[in-house]
Amino acid sequence: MPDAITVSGVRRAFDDGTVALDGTTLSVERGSVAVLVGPSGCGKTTLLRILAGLDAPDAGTASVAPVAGEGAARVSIAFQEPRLLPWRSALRNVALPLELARAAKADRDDRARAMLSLVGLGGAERKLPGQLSGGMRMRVAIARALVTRPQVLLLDEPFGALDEITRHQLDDLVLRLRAELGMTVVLVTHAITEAAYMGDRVFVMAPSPGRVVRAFEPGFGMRDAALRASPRFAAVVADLMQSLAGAMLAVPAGGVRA
Amino acid sequence: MSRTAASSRLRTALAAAVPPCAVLVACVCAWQAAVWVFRPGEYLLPSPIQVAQEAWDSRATLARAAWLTGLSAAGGFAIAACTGVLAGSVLAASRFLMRGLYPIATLLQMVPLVAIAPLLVVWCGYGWRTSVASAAIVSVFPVLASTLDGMRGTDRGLVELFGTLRAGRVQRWWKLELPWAIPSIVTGLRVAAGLSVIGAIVGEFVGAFAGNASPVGIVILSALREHRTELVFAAVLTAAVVGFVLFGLVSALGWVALRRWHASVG
Ligand SMILES: Nc1ncnc2c1ncn2[C@@H]1O[C@H](COP(=O)(O)OP(=O)(O)OP(=O)(O)O)[C@@H](O)[C@H]1O
Ligand SMILES: [Mg+2]
Repeated sequence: MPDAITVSGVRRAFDDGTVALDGTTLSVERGSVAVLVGPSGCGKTTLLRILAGLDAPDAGTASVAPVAGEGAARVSIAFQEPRLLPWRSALRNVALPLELARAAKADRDDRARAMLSLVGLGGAERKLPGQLSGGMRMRVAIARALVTRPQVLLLDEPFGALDEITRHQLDDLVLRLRAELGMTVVLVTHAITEAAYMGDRVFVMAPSPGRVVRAFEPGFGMRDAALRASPRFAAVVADLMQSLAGAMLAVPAGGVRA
Repeated sequence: MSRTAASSRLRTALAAAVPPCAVLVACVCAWQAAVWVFRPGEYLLPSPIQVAQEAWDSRATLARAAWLTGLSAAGGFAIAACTGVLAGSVLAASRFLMRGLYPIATLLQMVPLVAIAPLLVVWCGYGWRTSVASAAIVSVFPVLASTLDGMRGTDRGLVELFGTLRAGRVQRWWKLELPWAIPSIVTGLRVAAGLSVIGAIVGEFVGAFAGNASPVGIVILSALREHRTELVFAAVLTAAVVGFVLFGLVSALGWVALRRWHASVG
């Protein structure tokens, strides 16, 4: 499989002198789940924003390749918070991207409805965000990100604020949707077990300046509850935890292994 | 909605209405008592009973006056509502315009209406146009300010979301900033509704002429000239009723518009 995302030597320094990213290099295979894991402030959100086109690198390149035969790559991002319009029903929130792109009304309602039932909210179409639970709101946000059929889905700690059971459910939902819709997923998290479970490839990042210090592949094929309880999963988690502990120590930028 | 919920809402509304009504009744009684005790001349302070009697006797005049003043106020209010929301939106959209125009708008707003009212007569002539213009001028600023405030408070995250969805500037205004600002705009509109009646009457004082169709301002002026103080009182009460009705209508409309918001926020 070719790479859907290529990031090479990216540097991003903010006006106040903070170097959020420096010499960040990684690539993500099309159709895979890449996880960015690392301590707070190591530039995960900054990298995702660059991939989404919300920010630009000061040096280096970050590109999302379109699928062969198509024009520009379609990239969707779901933020750490659901960011729903409080006065719109779940259905009309999901339809928003299509509405802004001026799709025909009947068409966009159909597609939004289909997407809502795909995330398991078939019965909640007419509910307002205030009437939904936190996990349901996040599902609506993901349905909205998916309704344009993106080739790349960027998720910034989407389930960080949720309880662990809901988070497991939604993680499985993302894996299922990835398989059904055939997208590339980049997931940002600072939960180590989530990183180990979700990643086809896990990039461990370190702060000041933000960079990738390790890339590895847990190599799990099927993910299910049994995997979470297995010793090989525990081994990967322990391994990751050690890398992260190392990442917390201020390693000079020269010592990057990516 | 269940019947119990509806009846409990009714009970809350009644409970809210009781204290102001009680205060009002007490004031009217005190007024009546004061007139009985101190016996000021009728042309100085008529008693509530005399005012009520006069209001009843002149009901046709007062009703027509209320209607005419109400129309001017409503017309001015409508103009102010549209202009205020549009101007507020434009200022909210451009930091440059806001920096340049908002301080000037604030200053202009402090020019007393009574001082510019005679000018309105020069521009709009004698008659209802002056009242409408005067009503519009006093009520436009609260709408503008509340629109501007509401829109500037738009959630940054949602603005960013619209950016990632490549929304156009007009789409962002219509589908995000305007609905976001509605609670604030409704507050401004309610203030404007009350002010518009004051504006209309000031306009009538300077610009309307007595004909067979006299608005409240003219009824007040001619009653004063004829030393019919009780009619002045009755006309002032009429003006208050017009203001109250307009305020009530706008509040009701606002309540309908806000129901979605409250349902979603609460
Ligand atoms: N707009 C900005 N202006 C200045 N500094 C910024 C800006 N955005 C981020 N930073 C800084 O860049 C660094 C990386 O921020 P970023 O949000 O990418 O971290 P993160 O890895 O997503 O952290 P977290 O896990 O807490 O979300 C931080 O030191 C942060 O203070
Ligand atoms: Mg972040």
